[in-house]
Amino acid sequence: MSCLGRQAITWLPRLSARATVLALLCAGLALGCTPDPDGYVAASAEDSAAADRAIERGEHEPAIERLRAIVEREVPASVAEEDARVIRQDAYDRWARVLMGRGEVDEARRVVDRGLALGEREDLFTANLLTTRGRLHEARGRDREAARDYHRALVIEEALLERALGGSDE
Amino acid sequence: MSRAVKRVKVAAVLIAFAVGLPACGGAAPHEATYVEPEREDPSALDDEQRELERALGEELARPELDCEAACDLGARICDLSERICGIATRHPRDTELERRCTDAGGRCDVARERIAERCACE
Repeated sequence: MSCLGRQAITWLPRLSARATVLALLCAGLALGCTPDPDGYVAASAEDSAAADRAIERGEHEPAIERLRAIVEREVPASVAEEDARVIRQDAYDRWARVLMGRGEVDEARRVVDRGLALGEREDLFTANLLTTRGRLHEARGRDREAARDYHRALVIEEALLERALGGSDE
Repeated sequence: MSRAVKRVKVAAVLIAFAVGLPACGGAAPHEATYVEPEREDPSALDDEQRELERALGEELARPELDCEAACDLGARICDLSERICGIATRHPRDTELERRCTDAGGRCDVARERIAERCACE
């Protein structure tokens, strides 16, 4: 697992959904686990912070522009594949939530699916995307599919909980 | 006792034992008579030290308890469980949804119990 991914396992849940990627990126840089000679992480962090500010102001379009910039930015070879995945999946999830908030359910679903297509792992990013997709299914009356996605997210978060509790004593 | 305190104590005992092991077998400093220490097999001591180092490494490698994350995850698990059961309530004759609700509710209960054993959530 990548350095960023390991950090994300336990301390991401305590952060708000909007602030996750920025905190993660900055922590990754501070910890020295994210070499960033090409400025990919720093640029993504800047876009992430700008998206947060735009969402707070209710400016959806500028927020979406910034989140789109994150997922479309070319990933340099210096960035670990898994780090790029979590950065992009976090952006896809936030983008989809903005669209969902505007009632653009079908477009949000497309965005979520693009995020999940990057790979499903036992981490918070996948769980977030599954939860968002579940809500989108519910909005379209596809209750069985919604319950399935919620349940998958729940099982992932259960595994993350075990890690947060320090593993089993048995 | 918290996991962190327990780990520190275990580590301290293991280190003390490992460091002190080669010095064992001698007479106490205030005794007037000298007792020839029982000869020990150096390779056995090496094995014992390696075993202690392995145990120490294992203990230190265990993940830290993170109550803040655990509490958040517990809340998320139970929120998802409520969502699933809310859907199941809308479809009372759907056995698949009923099964998912029962399973999710059980996982929420277990999560709450596991967290309550070690953490005090707000």
